[in-house]
Amino acid sequence: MMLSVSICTFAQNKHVIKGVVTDTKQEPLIGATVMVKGNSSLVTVTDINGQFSLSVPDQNQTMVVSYIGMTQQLVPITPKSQNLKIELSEDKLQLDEVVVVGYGTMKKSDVTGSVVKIGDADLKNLSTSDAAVALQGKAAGVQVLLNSGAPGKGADIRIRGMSSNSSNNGPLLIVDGLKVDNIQYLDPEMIESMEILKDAASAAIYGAQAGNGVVLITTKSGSKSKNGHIFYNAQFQLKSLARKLDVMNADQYIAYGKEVGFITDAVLKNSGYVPGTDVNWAKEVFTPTWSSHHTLGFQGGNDNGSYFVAVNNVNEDGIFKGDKDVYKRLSIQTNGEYKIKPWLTVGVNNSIEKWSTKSVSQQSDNGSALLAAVTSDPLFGPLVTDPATQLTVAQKTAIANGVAVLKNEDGLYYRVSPISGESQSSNPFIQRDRTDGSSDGINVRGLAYLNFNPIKGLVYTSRFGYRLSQGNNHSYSAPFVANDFVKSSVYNIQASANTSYYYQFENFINYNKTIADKHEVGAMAGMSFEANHSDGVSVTSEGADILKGYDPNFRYINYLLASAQKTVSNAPGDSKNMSYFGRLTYTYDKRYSIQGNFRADAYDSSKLPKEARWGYFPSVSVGWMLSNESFIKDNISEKVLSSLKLRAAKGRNGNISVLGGYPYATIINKNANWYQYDQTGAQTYGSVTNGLPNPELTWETSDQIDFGLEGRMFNGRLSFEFDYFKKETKGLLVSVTPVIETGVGSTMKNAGNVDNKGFEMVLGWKDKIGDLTYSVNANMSTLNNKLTYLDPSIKQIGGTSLQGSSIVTECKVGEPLWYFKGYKFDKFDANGMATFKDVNGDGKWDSNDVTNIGSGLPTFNYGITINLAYKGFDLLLFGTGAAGFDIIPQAWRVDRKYCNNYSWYYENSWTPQNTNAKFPAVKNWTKDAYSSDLAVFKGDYFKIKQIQLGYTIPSKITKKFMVSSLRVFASLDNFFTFTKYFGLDPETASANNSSSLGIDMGTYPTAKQATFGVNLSF
Amino acid sequence: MKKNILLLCISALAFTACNQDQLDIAQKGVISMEQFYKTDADAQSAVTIVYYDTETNFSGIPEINGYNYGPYFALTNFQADDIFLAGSGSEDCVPEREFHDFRYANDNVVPLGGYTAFYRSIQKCNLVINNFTKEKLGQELTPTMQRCVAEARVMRAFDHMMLGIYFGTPPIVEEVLSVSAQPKNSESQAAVMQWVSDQIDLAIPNLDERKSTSDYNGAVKITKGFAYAVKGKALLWKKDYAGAKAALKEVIKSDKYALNGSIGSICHADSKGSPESVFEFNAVFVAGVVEDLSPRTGRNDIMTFNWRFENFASTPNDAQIKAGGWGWTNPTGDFARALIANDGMNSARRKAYIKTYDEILYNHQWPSDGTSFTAGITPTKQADATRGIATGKSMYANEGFWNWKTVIHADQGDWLKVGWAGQWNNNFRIMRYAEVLLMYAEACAMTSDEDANGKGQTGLKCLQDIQNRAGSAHVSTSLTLADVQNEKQFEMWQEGCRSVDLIRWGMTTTLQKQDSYVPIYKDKLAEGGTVHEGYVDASNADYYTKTFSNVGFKAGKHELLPFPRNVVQLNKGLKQNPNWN
Repeated sequence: MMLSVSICTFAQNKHVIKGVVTDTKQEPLIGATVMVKGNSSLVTVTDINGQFSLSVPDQNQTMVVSYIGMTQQLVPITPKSQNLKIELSEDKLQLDEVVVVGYGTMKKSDVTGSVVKIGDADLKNLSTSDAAVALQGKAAGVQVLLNSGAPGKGADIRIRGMSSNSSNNGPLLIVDGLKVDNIQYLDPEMIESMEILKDAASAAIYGAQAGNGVVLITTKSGSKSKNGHIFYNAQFQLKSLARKLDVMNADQYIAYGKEVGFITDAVLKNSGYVPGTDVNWAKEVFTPTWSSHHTLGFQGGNDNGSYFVAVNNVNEDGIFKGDKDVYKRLSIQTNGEYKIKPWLTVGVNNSIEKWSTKSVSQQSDNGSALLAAVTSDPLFGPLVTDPATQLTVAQKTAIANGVAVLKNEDGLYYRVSPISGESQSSNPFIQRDRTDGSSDGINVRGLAYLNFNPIKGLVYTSRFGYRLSQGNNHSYSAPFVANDFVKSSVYNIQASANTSYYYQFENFINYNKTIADKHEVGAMAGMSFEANHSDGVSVTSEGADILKGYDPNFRYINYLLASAQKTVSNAPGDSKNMSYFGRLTYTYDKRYSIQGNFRADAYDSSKLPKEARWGYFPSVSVGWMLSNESFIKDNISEKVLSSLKLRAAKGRNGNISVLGGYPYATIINKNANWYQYDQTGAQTYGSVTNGLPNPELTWETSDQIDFGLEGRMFNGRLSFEFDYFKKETKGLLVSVTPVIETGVGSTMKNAGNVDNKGFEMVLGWKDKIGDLTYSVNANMSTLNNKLTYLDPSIKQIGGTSLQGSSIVTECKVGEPLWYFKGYKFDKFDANGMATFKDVNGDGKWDSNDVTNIGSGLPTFNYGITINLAYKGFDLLLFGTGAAGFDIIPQAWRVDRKYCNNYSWYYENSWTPQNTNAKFPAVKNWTKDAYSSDLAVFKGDYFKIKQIQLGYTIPSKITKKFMVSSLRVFASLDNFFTFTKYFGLDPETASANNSSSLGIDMGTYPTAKQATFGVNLSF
Repeated sequence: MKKNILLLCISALAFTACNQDQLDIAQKGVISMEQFYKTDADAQSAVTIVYYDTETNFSGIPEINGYNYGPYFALTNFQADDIFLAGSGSEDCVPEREFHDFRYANDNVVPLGGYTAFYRSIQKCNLVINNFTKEKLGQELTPTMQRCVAEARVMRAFDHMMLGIYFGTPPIVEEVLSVSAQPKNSESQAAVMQWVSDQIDLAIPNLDERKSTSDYNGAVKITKGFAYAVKGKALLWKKDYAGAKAALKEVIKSDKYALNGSIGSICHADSKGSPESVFEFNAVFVAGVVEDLSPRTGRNDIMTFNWRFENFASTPNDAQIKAGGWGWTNPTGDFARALIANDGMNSARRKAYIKTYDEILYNHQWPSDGTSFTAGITPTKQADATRGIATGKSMYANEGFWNWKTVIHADQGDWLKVGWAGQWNNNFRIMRYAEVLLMYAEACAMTSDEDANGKGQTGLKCLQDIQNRAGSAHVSTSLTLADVQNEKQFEMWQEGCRSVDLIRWGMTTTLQKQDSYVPIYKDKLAEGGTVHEGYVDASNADYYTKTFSNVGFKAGKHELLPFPRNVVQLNKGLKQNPNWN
């Protein structure tokens, strides 16, 4: 039985033509198209053995045999056409990958900038449902920063480092031509390819929005599946805590407490401690959970049209006990395109997403559920089993006064340790349950387009893109008492509803022509208009008695008492911008290419004054295909060196996201504040200027150069790509403190420069040994990030300051962005007290002796992917790592000595026996010690992100069930982490992705997961 | 043809979409500069911001000193010899303690916070004074405008006076400064004080006067009475005692001020707008309307100064007490003992200002007391491990005395149970009549005593009034500077006078010893004993002198605060104070 069925084989006077199609190595080509020339209804494709059979009404015709990447062959039909052997050879031109660039596509060989393409092979069967995470480790120079392992928490993408002191460091994200605000919604299963425009010359076509690079995503279409394709992919993931929560055990904690002085035998006795108890909080807090991802898709097409429809369902439950950390998403992608006239194609791409999420608190040095998992002492468990003896006095008092003391679902009170519980952490479950919150929403993202093709080589595209978004947040908390810090005396209820729409209207013309065979000319010109509108309402009420009832069915704003004080907010917001852009490309003799891009952007008055709203972004890049030069061709065999290209690029981009809110305008804030002149408290309002705005503000501007060398060797088995880049970003928006005597706290100024430079390398090797095919792809990139200039009026830009330590993050000339500033350890004195270096050399050590003691931004990133296939088996190994960065664990604090701490500190503390220690004596865990490099740890890690073993059941078996392909797989994700860092996860250890990079205040770790999955296609 | 028409249509659409006018989006919720500073209403609106901004900046500048305390209180009190900066231990409130014991560098947050707060207030004053001029308006100022300008002028004078007291020669800023301004030092501290006095004279004709001792509203705005008090204080610092005496006399003879009957309400809600109030920033809780007073009443004072309850075995259920606190200031033993010796253990002032450990243990209701409670010591209470200092805990920087003056008294309505820790129901106090009386007494002692109001209100009487109201065992019989000094240290405890008075009087011996003795306080019951007995553990009391070589006041340097490092770096026109760099 044929694998494929010919679309139309009936006719009178049938002649049946049979044959086999192979490549030049005599390997059968599966799915090659065999068609009668000029009659697209007479068509078939080859089966799994490369064989075909086609009935034709008339023998005097020609057959067209084609296969992607091969030169098509014309075969005349003769009466003898019964056992044809047709051999197709590789088409060098066709093999050349097509790369999506802004407002068009290019052949990879013509690309003169640094563009990385991640194809669907790299996006298959990933255990993430987030397109941003899918990028991790796949492309040199692209960092994917996860700052949480919690379900539904997105990842941030950094292309070639960090260019801004603001939090606006993410690339421009474009999906099928639509600008989107995130790509978390997009399941990798929906994606055909992702292109990353790293250098300024490639990205300049996006002007003021592309200062941090561009990610272009193309979703799948049906154009490659002429016979229709139905697929179903499912994954079931068993998640669990990946690493040990390595905190002090009971013996250590008691010994520590005695040494510090807050534990004595009497304390232990009075506290109700049961000797021998050693609570493992990791076991109490984390639990294995199941998550699932399902995708069902339909693809098809013919010469005139194609469609892709897929439904994706994601159901994730985090490893924190309970159902308060979940992420659910249902999304539908519908892509369709039809050629309604020879000169007109219309298409639509749509994504509809419904999502909901809940989360537990993390990353706060004032207590959170995750922090409490680290700081809770091991002496007392999470639950009160004997209320008479185990409730604290505060809890008992609260109960006596009718104030809630939180309980679990079985009605048992959460226990507050009489020792460590009196802190901002209290108990992880109290932190989890003190507030009930949820978010959900609907997003529609899509675009509709027309492609005119009035004359050969010219395409006029007009497209209209849109995003409609609706989101809701709810939260509710009731009065409760855990201890002096963790309590609330009031009810609080909040609800918000936000709607927004965005549209973009773009028109551009692409023209490509080859003149006299040697001159390839391309031109593109266009315009774009974008508008954003948002409108949201939020209501908050707080007070001792605010709702008509407090049962769950009353916990809505609707049931607020008339007397409840409400805070209500609403003001619609708009932003708009317009642009003109163009590109010229010229290639001579497939050897020399030059490309120029230009974009002019104008932004609305909320960002820039009218006079200064336009900005201009030019770029130029050149390429030299060395392998097409005769001096190479003549001397080196094509089998050794199949391609070699040298390229260079220079261009300019902007980062407009730093502006907003009319930052340049001096105005009067009307009735901004009030004073009470009267005993009754009647408010009199006052108006005031908005300080000292700077009318000269503009966006950040990045100038970047890039040199690249890329090539393929040994019959394409080896591929390589090297890039060096240097990106200078100027005009960082800096909050400058004017002379204090002005009485104005700050004014904004474009007054900082950042350099990012680095080297990127990609190496690939693929080959076949017998039945074993394998490939190894590795990439690595270095990053050197440095602030090179700051307005002379300020020494540094302050970032995050920690409550339990004097370490601050800041930006300072000569240092990386948001480096850690603290003391430099010198030595331990005779009592195991740390002493610190006199850094400024003034003969004494004091608060001025602070210096760079680390940085949270990795300077080295790498990834490796290994694929093996043997008969029906396939094995994928994927790992990624980062190095050259530091982490400050910020769980224990000097002013909260009773908190538990990572056992590393205790085990490595100075003792009279161990004077060669890494940390001061327990008694001398001072704020200064925690403010020094002693408290900074290497974050370097390598994670084997995925080991996946798949087996494709032979089609002989599956085709009996009408299944064309069935693959089952199992995968171990995040199982192996190699790091010296003792916290739960070096990868998610950052409190955020800018100024708190590298500060670990109780992180939600990435779970390890065992994944079981199936890929089914019909 | 068809395709060309389509192409044309699309192109036309593209063209209209590109109309640049679409990029003009009006800013919401603001008006332009040209629309303001015109009318009486605008003048009142502008001066209202002076009150708002001064009150909130004195209460807290989070960007400088975190959210823990107000810069005004810190600047004016944290250097005094009569308090410990305590908190949880030597690692808590570190920069504040460095300031306290004079080992701080010029980047310390306390001087920076104070300096910044005063100039923020000055800028708002200048916006009023500079914009309501005959030149700008093109007409004479209306009476309302004149009053608004006068109020701003007094506030600006007060700010400069405080800057002069602490920093010596701060720039006098009379204009709204531009970004590029580099204002220079004033000539001398005396010149600042004279300028303040002159500014007050300019303002006084246009100011309102408090209507009577019971006029609440007249205590929460700038009046003639406050203006004279500021002038008096400035001239006292200028050592122009006669001038000071004359100015302060105006306050006394106006008859608009009087000492409150009870000292127990000083610093508490019960004394808001009281007869004794010369000027305080108002903060009134209005249910459902004004519920967040915290930015106006000392941003986090409720936690900063309340006792360190976490070191107690439980939290008193007592009607007076609000639980939760960081216990940043404790009275020193020297101060507490001196107060007890001077006033008597049972004096109203002693009871209002400080508490002993036994009072906390036995006169407050702890959870174990149940619902019925009788104050006083009983064997049950003595052996009760759930009251007092907890097992294994101690009170840092404490000699058995607790601050009671500046912590919340729940029974006085101080505590608004709103938000995380609740908030103070309090006004932000700037000038209390007792200070006016003490300054008058001092001015008289330095010159000659005079009857201020023709009703026998001499300097000596001023002093005696305060002592009698305090229920003090010591009532002066003659007016000497020493008597005024003695009285002022008690009466004005933690009200911003002590450290600069000592420096002004050249009495810096105690400042030189600051933090040379910082013991902890423990309870024998918590250490395994059978009954409560508080005791001082001095085993590590020399921690600061032992650990740091530069503890204590240094003559020739610490008479003035440094211009904060940040200030000097930004303002090249400014010369640093002697021996600071």
